[in-house]
Amino acid sequence: MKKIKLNNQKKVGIIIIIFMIAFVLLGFLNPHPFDLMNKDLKLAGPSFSHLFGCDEFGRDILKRTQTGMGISVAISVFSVLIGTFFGTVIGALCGYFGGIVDEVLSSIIDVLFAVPSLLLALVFVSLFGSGYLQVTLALGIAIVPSFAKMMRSEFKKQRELEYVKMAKLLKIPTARILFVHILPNVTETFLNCVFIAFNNCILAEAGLSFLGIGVQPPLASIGTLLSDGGGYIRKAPFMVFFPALTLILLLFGIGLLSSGESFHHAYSKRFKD
Amino acid sequence: MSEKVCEVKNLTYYYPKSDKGVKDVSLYVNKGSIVGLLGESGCGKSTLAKCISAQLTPEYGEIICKKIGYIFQDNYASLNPAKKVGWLLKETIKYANPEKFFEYEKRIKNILEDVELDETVLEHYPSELSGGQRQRIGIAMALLSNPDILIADEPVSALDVTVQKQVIKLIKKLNERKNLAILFISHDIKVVREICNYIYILKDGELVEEGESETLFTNPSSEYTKNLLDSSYLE
Repeated sequence: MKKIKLNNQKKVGIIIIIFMIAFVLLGFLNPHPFDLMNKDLKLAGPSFSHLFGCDEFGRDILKRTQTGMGISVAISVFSVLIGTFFGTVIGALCGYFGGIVDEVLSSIIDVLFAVPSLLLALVFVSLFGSGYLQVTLALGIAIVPSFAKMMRSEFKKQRELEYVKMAKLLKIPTARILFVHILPNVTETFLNCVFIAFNNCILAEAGLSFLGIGVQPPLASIGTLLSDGGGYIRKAPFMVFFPALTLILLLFGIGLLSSGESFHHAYSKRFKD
Repeated sequence: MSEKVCEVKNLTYYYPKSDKGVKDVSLYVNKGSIVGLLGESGCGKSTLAKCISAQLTPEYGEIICKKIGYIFQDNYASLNPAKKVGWLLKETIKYANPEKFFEYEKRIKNILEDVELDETVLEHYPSELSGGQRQRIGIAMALLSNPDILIADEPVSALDVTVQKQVIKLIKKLNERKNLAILFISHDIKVVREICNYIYILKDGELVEEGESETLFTNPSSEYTKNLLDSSYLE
């Protein structure tokens, strides 16, 4: 079994993320439905039965935060999967083959790269309508250019190395060279891109939902919770405070996980110790 | 007359937008012989080897070679750093010799015996091995495709003197035991003299002299070879 040595930043990051996962999963044990309205509990403050208080419709904010966080994370995970898959494939093809393949694909990527990702997502949502599926696809597409650029430069470097030439001499199929031989050698950049993309997706999803073009009511996401709470920030600050706190904690955890010594470095350090 | 396992006729290759390359080179390698390709750094030795092994496509000329095995100069870069040695050898058998893949364990055991390594290396990453061990793994990988000719591109230049001797001894042994033809590329005159039966001298991409090893070293005909030999005796 491979042992990976992690620095303290990464350890704290992992603890925070485990805590956030537990927070979301505990939502299944929370007896309050996320969309159950109760006029008697309108803007009720935090109490033992409603730890995060209640919103303007008397809905439990803890349950809505847990649900919203789950939805935001799910959207981001699937967006990152889409972006990572297409970005890696395009970047790998451009970097490995070079020439006309690189020129054509890089031109398309450059055009997409010139459009800010949030604007790209907005265009997509305005074309295909709002909702979590559309947001997931839009964010996934928005990630592709940056991912493809990073992977292109990594694969371009790797293709010149002799182990790749050796694989070519053995007539190993190109797809296998790309994804079985080269990809494990670019894990460092790959993982950093994944973490950065995930953070960006969480923020972009919150932004889109805050603007009302992401997840639609009665479903909750961190963005909709912040948007709903924004109108009651003086009367009921807890409506913004708790969702914002969970968002900050999640971003902080992922940030720590991707910061400092890379996984690859931590892994290779094993040999020196 | 010995059987030719590799013949190169009038091979010419220039790097794009450069006057560097090889010009009108012809050579051959017989079965069981060790042929040296000697010249200064940058004279086109590796370019020629890359053309022969189809890593580069020559502009002119003809290459008629049987199955080629290739040993790279940089034993660190030629082994995938993310994979264990066992995986690398298994992968080599899978693609270089797929019909024998069912007995890969036996093949790996035998090849490790051939290159004088024990089975513990299989569980290690290349970065955990010494330079000599890595070069032996490189030789093992080249041998796993059952080549008729082995192109050794400066196989010992990155090794220290003691390990150099061990690897040269191993290459000689493999040549004798398997009757394997070897095209040995080096800029090191002493190494080439020790190992090769026949030598080609390359200068600025062109062959300037060729001959039996001892004849060439005792009675060189070209001025360039004389200078090359003199410079080595000065060391």
